[in-house]
Amino acid sequence: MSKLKIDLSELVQSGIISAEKADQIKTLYQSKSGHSANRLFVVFGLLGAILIGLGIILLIAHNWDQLSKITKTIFTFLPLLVGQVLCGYTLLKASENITWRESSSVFTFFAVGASISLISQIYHIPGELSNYLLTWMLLVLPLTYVMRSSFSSLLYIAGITYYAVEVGYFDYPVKMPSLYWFLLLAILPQVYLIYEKKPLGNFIAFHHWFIPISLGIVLGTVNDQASHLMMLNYMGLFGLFYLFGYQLPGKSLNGYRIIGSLGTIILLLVLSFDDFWGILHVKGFSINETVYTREFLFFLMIFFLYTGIGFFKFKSEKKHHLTAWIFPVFILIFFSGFIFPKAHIFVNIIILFMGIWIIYRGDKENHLGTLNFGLLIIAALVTCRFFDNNIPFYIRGLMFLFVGAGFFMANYRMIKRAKAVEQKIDSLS
Amino acid sequence: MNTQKKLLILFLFIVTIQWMVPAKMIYDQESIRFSGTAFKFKIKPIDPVDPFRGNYIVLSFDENTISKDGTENWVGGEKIYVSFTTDSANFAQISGYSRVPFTDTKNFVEAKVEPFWNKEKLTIKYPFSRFYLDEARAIQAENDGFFTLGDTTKTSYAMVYLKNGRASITDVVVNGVSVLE
Repeated sequence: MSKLKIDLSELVQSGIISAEKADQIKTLYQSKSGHSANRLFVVFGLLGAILIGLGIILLIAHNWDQLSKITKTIFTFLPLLVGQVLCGYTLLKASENITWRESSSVFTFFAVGASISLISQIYHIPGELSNYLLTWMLLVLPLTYVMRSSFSSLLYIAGITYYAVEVGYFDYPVKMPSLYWFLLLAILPQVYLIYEKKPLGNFIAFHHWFIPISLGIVLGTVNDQASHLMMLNYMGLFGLFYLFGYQLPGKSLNGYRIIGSLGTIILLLVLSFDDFWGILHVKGFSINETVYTREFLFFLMIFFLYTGIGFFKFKSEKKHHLTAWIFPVFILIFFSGFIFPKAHIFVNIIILFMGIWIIYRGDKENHLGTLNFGLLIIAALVTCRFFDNNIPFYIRGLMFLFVGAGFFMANYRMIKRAKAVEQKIDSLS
Repeated sequence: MNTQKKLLILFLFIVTIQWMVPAKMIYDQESIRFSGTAFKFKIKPIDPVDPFRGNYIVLSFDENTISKDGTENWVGGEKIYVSFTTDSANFAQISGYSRVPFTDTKNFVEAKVEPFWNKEKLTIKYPFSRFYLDEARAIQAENDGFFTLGDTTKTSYAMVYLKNGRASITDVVVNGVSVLE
């Protein structure tokens, strides 16, 4: 700020700007620095609450033998009481102060976890970790709404994901964590409120990462008898993320779009090997093992959601994105795999086509990042084929040479073009 | 009623529930200890850690199998009710099992069938398989070889109260010495 003041007074003295303009600039920057100071308060408040909350959990985990059962029980409720008093005070006196709202609810979030944990300890209640997490999350869910706390909502999403992972991957007997889907639905109105308040804010940007990561992790728990259909489900989920990410406002990339496009490409690369398709062909199509399964039910849900969002998107926007078309095309390839054992050839063609298309778009839009992303896709495809023993060495060698040369040529062309534009601007001025 | 008042009422409701859940957990356990029957279960313990809840001993019990008719069908993870009596040395002994709660005795517990099944035998997973310890004590005990159960002349057991399907564990004695001493 002081540097700005010196610069401004210099500008006023040399007559470049008027004193009035200098004042306007100063006010603008002052208000901006005020915003960033507020943001810092929120960040430090949150960090403090998280550290203290986790500290309490660790202190409790030590399991103090010296303390009597009564003292331990009092300590069980003490952090909870402190957190609730802070939340109550916030609601009454500082309901518009984000720092107070976020810190007091995050503290209470951890205090609830600490209190049920301490009771499990005092009374040696075994219980699965999943049950503990479920009780904890159910107790804090309404708090996120009342306190309008964005960070508690993020912690809640992380908590229900942990719960689903415990139930769906680690508990015995492994079950599908059906409750997870309801728990996630229960927080969505809150996410929408956060979005509505500040569609481009940091908190909602974090949600755009947390939700797709959570869904990506938990979708795997759907896997039961028809594992082969999970490839289809994941491709659909990534496609959905991509489509949905494009509906969100803001020019910068969001979590949905990045996870959607990277997920699609990585999955395609995995499926560009023949292993999966060989197994699928040997297995063959059977109504019982494919259609009457819960994996297929999820496929149908993803498909309808995808069609819905896709229809809405194409109606409102004329620009078409290739990644958005991968899922419908992949459905055809997938089902052809039951009859045709070499369906991986189609997958390779799709990746190659995608790479070329993205390079073409990067070239057309003069965007070096997009261009290199396309080249990277092709390089990844070629690297995968490097491990394919079915292709002769000399062809693999030629493929590498070709892609390497492509990298040089494309980048050189674009940099040269950018320089030419610069020169043109210089000559005009 | 304005929004702030509504929010406050909702908040007080949440606060009540946040207190009731842990309070109910305490009440349930105290009620078992107060009016349940105490049983000594012979054990063989080991020592892992839980990320949230600290050090605990995992207890595995000698009396955890039931002989059954080969035609009976049980699956891993299925709920089972097991009733107990005491043997001549005063240790817990299984007296019966059922798919529904017992009505003639309150000395039974709701448990689960373990996955390693055998046609003539069921293995039971009890709901009192953990005993939490002070961190310093747990480390000391492990270093001293407290959990090795080397002395076969002395018995090791867990003290468990049972009441109508629920259980509460109060002490673990290893080689004749309580882990709480």
